[in-house]
Amino acid sequence: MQLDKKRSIRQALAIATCGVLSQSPVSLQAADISWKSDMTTLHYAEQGRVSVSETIASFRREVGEDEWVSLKFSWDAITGASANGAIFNPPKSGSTQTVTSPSGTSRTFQTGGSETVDPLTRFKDVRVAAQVSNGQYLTPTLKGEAVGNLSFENDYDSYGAGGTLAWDIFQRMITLTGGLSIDIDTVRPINGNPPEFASISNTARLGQGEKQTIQSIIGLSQVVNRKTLTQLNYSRTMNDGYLTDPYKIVTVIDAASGAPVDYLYEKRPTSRVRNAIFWNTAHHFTEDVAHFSYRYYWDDWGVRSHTSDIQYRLEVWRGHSLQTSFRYYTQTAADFYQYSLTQGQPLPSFASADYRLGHLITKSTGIKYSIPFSKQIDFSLRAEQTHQNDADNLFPSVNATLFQAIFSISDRVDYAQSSRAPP
Amino acid sequence: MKRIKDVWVGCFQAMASPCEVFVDHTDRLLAKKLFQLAEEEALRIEQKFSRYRNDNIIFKINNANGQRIPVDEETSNLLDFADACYQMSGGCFDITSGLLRKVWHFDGSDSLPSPEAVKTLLPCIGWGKVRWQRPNLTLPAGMEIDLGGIGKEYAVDKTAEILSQYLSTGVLINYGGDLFALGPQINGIPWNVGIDDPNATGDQILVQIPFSKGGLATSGDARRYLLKEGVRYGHILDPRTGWPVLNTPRSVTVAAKTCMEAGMLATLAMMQGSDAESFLQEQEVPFWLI
Amino acid sequence: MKTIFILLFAILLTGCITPIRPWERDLLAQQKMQLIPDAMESEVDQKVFFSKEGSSGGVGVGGGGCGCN
Repeated sequence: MQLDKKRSIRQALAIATCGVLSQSPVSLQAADISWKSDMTTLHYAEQGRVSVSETIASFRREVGEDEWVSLKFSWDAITGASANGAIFNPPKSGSTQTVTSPSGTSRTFQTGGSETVDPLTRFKDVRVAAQVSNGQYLTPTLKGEAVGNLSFENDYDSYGAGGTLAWDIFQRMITLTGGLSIDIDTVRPINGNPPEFASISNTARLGQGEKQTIQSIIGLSQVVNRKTLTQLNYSRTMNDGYLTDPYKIVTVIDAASGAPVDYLYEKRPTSRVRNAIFWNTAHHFTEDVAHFSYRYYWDDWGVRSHTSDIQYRLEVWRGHSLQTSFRYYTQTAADFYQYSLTQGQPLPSFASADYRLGHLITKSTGIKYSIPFSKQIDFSLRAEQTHQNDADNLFPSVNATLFQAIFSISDRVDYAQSSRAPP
Repeated sequence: MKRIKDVWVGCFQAMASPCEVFVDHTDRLLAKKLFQLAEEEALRIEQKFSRYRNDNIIFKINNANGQRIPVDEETSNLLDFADACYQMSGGCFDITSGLLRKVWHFDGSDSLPSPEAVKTLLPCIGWGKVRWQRPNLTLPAGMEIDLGGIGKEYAVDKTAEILSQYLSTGVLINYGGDLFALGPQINGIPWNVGIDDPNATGDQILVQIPFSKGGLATSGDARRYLLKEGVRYGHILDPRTGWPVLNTPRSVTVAAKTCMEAGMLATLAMMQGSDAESFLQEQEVPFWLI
Repeated sequence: MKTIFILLFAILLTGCITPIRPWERDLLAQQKMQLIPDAMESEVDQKVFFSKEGSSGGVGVGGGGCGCN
């Protein structure tokens, strides 16, 4: 068995192995500290009502091994008007409208039905918020994160802190999560909060209201198979303090004619315990991905809701994708929800005509197009249309449209993004 | 993961062999991470190139029935390597020779296959019959490829590549006897590698090699052979005849720059039979012959 | 209600937990396969919906409050 060119075999081999193994492994020194940044800006508009513009920028960076810090800023501006629960006269009795506003400009009001209250409260509000968080791997399978946040706007402040833990078990097939957070908010409209159940002609104002929120959550997520991931959460939130909305009004109507005779500021209980069970599943179809979620919510104000959400992300071409989503929401009214109060009847303990505590059905459809500009940059454009109607057909329905642009840039290449499934 | 004499040792099973990774470092979390990366890479390569699976490119190629199969870059590189080895060995190293396992069962008995049985297989063996034009591979129907001869060494070298991004010394990888060292232990002392006594059941160490850097591989027929009428038939088969190479050394260990080179040199040396020693001397590589 | 919830948890826990091998986590590692694939989209949606409806939460904790409800 003669081998040709015996002496050069070693050289030939060295050359051959060059082709299989890269000579200089990618140096990670420069990319040791990885970072990621996400930015979004959106415009939300309700037909004839509120309009919101918001921008959020977040930045996350690894510090040391298995530890990271992130910072997020958001600012938004809200203008327009939203329904305050007041009922206005039917058109044929003829009326002029006056405007109520949080700046407390005086308004004229006369009983007798010749003047009416604007059913819409106009807003112009700017909000700025910031959030800081620090997370780290306490053990290779236990991840912890601490968060602090604050938010300021013309008539509302919020300070909060919280933490979450995520524990991987069964060889990372199951992850248990737990979280707790506390927020302390101050509700302070210009001139102070109106006394509850006071007539709107009453110009007395109280100081500010304080509200405390404690949220807790436990969850379990499980890898079902190579293509499916599912999660089940239970969360409980407790609100205490001033939970009334200082801009919302309940109409008092005349028992006989049904015409409004007085308008009172609403009153809500000072505590609320909310519960939710949330089930979320992601499934991979080798190219496309679908997400489905369902949430059942109930609280001690009598509100119960079902939320179903489905999203399908279709891979179009070279990393571009088109995602369509549909959300269906129904809720039952709060116990103290009243379309109106009747004159002469004793006042109930609590009452609110805020349609958001009523019997609601919301349907939303959305579409989102994503473009990867490179392995590290991602851009998406999104539009969502929401239709919300009162199931009792008392309040007019609301149509809203949302436009959002999202931009993500990261230092580390997401190799998983470009990996192909084995044949 | 265990700590043996100041060194972290991670063990797992892959490619039908016990695999070990030694990390000489004080950082336990780093060692753990390196073991995870090594295991993932070994299992990834096993999943992708194992002949025993039905969900990978090898299965697709071996069941293509004469159809042309395009392969990805990693597979292309390995096929180019196999092709180069076939050329430089004059046909002794051939990844299409796996078919011979159908007639050769090296269980220590004396049951040799009949010459006719071997002859029937020969038309389906021979890399020269394969059409390889990167990235397309066309195997004539009935032929199959088996990357078992280079798979483990490749896994060792790829794992070394990955781990070298984290440490430049103090790492030793051993996948079933194929090794790579990313440098000696932290204090400068080389790793101590022993060569198994091929005649014993596996507990005897004949030679101790101080090993600092590069690849180390062993080829041997100590465990798998047939013995008939005093003639020992080792499991290293010559693909051109279909019969074992005779008078091979019991065991050949070679050190080279990478594990793949070491493994291929050891295999080629075995192919030389009685000329193994002179072959290795000509290659001017460190070697140990038993 | 509580029984359904406990049952669901039990089903999940006792369901097949044949571990999947590390190389089989390729699809799961992709960003679009995370339970919340796009944090910016989710945050904005949650804010819109909790401002316009009577329910909130379920997804996570914290994030702070605002005067929108």
